[in-house]
Amino acid sequence: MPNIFDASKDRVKPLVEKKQSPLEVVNDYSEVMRREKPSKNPFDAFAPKPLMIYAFDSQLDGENVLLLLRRHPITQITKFLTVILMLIVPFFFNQISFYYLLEGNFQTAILLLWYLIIVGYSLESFLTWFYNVYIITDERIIDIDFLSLIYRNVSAAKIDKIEDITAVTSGVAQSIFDYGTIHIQTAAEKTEFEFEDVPHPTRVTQFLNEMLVEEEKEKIEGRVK
Amino acid sequence: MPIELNELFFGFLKVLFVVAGVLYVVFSVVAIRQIYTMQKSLMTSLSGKLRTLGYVHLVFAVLVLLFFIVSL
Repeated sequence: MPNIFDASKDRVKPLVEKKQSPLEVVNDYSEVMRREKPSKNPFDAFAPKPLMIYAFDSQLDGENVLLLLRRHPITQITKFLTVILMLIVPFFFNQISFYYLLEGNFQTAILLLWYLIIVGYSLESFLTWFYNVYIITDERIIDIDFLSLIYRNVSAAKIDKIEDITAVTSGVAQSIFDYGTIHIQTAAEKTEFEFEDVPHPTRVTQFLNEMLVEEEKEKIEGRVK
Repeated sequence: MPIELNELFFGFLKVLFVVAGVLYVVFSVVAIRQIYTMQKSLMTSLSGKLRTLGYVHLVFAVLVLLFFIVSL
């Protein structure tokens, strides 16, 4: 009598094959992403397969962030040094004779106002750096600009609209710390995207090229969304 | 400096400090508004902490303004 009730594991084929997550799928066609570990640090300036980005404005259904870029932290050194300098300045207030003429409360008020300005400047600088990001998803490139607290500009272009990618690294600092600007020419409404002072420009360019090749393949195979 | 002129000078200085304090409170409110707008553009694991930072900054600014009003 045939054993029709044998349900041992190796005889039963899974009805539904385990679906790969989008962040695993990218490893299939991108050499760059295969080498990179998912980023967990929200302060990363080069964040491949970021796990700490929950969503962004204008995100499409099923669209996944594959790479998030910010300006290299070293580009913020001027602001950092300015804050340090501003913190030191109050120690020299005693040198100003006018400062001595003021009552004690006014001296405290000057110090408080000075430190408020430092806090405000630091906060504004940090927010501008933190939220000024470039995002590469599996569908588009997105440039979110916050040039100041009251200016916001979001531009996007589909990957298949990219026509030309150029990475420029110039100067001693850019060579030492491996960062540069990536110019992306597109056939979209905004014709040029600039990823300014981003870390590892060569890797980013290579990744974008891999994305373009994959888009071409999708078109040929009729998998275009 | 004569006493009246002295009072006038420090009174004027107090007004300047209070105006600066008020402007800073307005800046803090704008900063909070902007943190919310920025978070709508990009939601990260840090969003909650940044909101708290914005509110702490506002409270700090209001306290300094109160100090300017009360003790100068």
